[in-house]
Amino acid sequence: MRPAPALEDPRGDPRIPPLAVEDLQVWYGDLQALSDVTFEVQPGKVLALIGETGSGKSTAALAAARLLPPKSRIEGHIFLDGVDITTMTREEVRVLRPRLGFVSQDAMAALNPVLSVGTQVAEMFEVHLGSSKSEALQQAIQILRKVQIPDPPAVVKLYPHQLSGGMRQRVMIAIALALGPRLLIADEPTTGLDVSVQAEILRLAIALRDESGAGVLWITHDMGVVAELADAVAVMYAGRIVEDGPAEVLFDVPRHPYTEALLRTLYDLRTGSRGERLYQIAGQPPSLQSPIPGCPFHPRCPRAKELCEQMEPSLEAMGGSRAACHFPLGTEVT
Amino acid sequence: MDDAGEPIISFRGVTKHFGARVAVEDASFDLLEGMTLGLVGESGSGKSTCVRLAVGLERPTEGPILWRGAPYRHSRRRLKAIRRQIGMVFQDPYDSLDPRVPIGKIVAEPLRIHHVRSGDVVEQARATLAAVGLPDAPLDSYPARYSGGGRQRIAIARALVLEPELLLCDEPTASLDVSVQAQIVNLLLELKTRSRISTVFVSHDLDLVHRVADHTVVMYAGRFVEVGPTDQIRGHPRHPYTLALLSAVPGDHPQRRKLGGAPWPQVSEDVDRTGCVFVARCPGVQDVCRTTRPPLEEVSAGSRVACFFPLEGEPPEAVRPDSFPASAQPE
Repeated sequence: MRPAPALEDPRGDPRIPPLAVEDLQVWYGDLQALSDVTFEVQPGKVLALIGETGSGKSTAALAAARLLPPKSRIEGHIFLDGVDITTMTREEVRVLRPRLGFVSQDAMAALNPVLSVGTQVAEMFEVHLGSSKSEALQQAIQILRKVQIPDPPAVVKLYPHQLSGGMRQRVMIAIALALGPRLLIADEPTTGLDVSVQAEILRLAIALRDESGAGVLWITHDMGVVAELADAVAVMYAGRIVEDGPAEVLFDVPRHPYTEALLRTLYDLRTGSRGERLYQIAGQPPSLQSPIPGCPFHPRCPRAKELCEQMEPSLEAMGGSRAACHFPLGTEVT
Repeated sequence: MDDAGEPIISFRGVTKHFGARVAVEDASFDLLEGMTLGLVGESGSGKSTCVRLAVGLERPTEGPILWRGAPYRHSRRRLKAIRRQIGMVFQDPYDSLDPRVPIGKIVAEPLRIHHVRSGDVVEQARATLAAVGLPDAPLDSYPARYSGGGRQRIAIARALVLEPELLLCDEPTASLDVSVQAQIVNLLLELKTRSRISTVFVSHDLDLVHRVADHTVVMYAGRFVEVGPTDQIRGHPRHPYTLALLSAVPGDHPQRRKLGGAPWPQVSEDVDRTGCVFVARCPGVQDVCRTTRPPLEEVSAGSRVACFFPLEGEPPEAVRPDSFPASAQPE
């Protein structure tokens, strides 16, 4: 194996963001999945990427972890812990793996069905820390305890199908955290889980973030999860970031009509009466196959004017956040 | 809604074992014509088993299931006749639609299975697709052309094409985007105002259940722990587990976070069924809870709770004993 690229270990240096993505573009064949995506994850903070299916949020997560399928094409820069990993080879990225933990939505698919939980968690320590088999197993038990798995010495002997969905997701988180990463990327880890299990995973994520000081990139389509977890938010639509900023600012003063629509959906769900129709964002989510000129949200936007059909707005700073909208909310002259 | 009719389907002390595991224990309810019953609980609580029992995919270990008052007999012919009256919608519209079959055929399939010859099959498929909000969908198009929401509409059309009396929805929105969830829930609400169809809506999302369900059953470890009018269950939960479920719903603003604090104790899947099944997690557990099974008893009009120490809340406002029909009430 090649030695690690020559660089100072910046672990713990608060000046270096665990993850910085600059002007990222991703294509799958002819389809552009990401356009000009730029964001940073700060140490000890959670950045939530929120969007619908096809918004590019998972592509951004996979790109940041260099896990995109081989057929994809990528431009721009991804800095993991200050190191540009955009054009690194697989082997070079592998050396940096310990700094990055990744939790995917489908734990059942991510875990190997024919290996015991203990073997899979212990492998991290054997491969990356050179621990002996018995040492690694002890380390595995320790990390499983940390993610609040009851009776870890018994659980290490089980196979993934013998665990509940919530337990499997905990094992995934244990694997992601095993080597004390600087960055945790979680791609919709609670989608499809029960609310009570989701609540436990969110509590766990908060506790681990506070304890480890790692930066977290959390992908979700649920504004409620964002409200609970996020320090900062980036709202994605049609492969772009259409609004970003501190979570409190976005919830208090959304600027982009799409952000506002997402928030209305959430408030309506929490406060509406029985039998009442749910607030519904008009129209259909955009399709990568047929990109449209102008602002990608204009066909669904109640504020759209002619300009929006012709010119794509760029992200502009306004009062503590940034939004890509020609006619942002809360800026009207009164 | 206000003139709910006869019970469509009733469980009377229904129990289902899978080997040594108790999936459903002593479940009783009536679902009245035109009403929607919400079934909530975490995975493994027995919700889906209840649905499978209702449609005859599983046979109860004990206790009868009644269709319009007559017990199911699990003969092929009887079940087929009952199933003609039951439409089913599943969680994942990517799994439940065959990608190689055009949607017109998918929707018309139940007509063929049940040899419905009355009228034009093609017309019926078209009309049903229109009724679920896909009036212009070409019958020869394939599921791949549709997004998750479109596919779930197609699945709902298939469930409705025989004009069933009962619609069973098992987590119909769990794998959909939030914006698409709203479309599907609104579609179910429309169906309810347009027809007398009865619906069972299984979900772990209490906010969604609250929108559509007149009455709600909360299940834990195979038992009904709280049953009552949905507004009351959401507004004044009496069982500690119901309260826990409600408190697990994320807040709606970073300044109104709900999920701080210590995590719940994790419990093993083998629940001791001697007493209350919730003892391992219950913050108010007493000795009696471990030794005696709490019966499902009426604590306020129409609301039943299986707990020796039900939570005290303010009395539910504007709920009179006669203000809602007695559907979903255990015997």
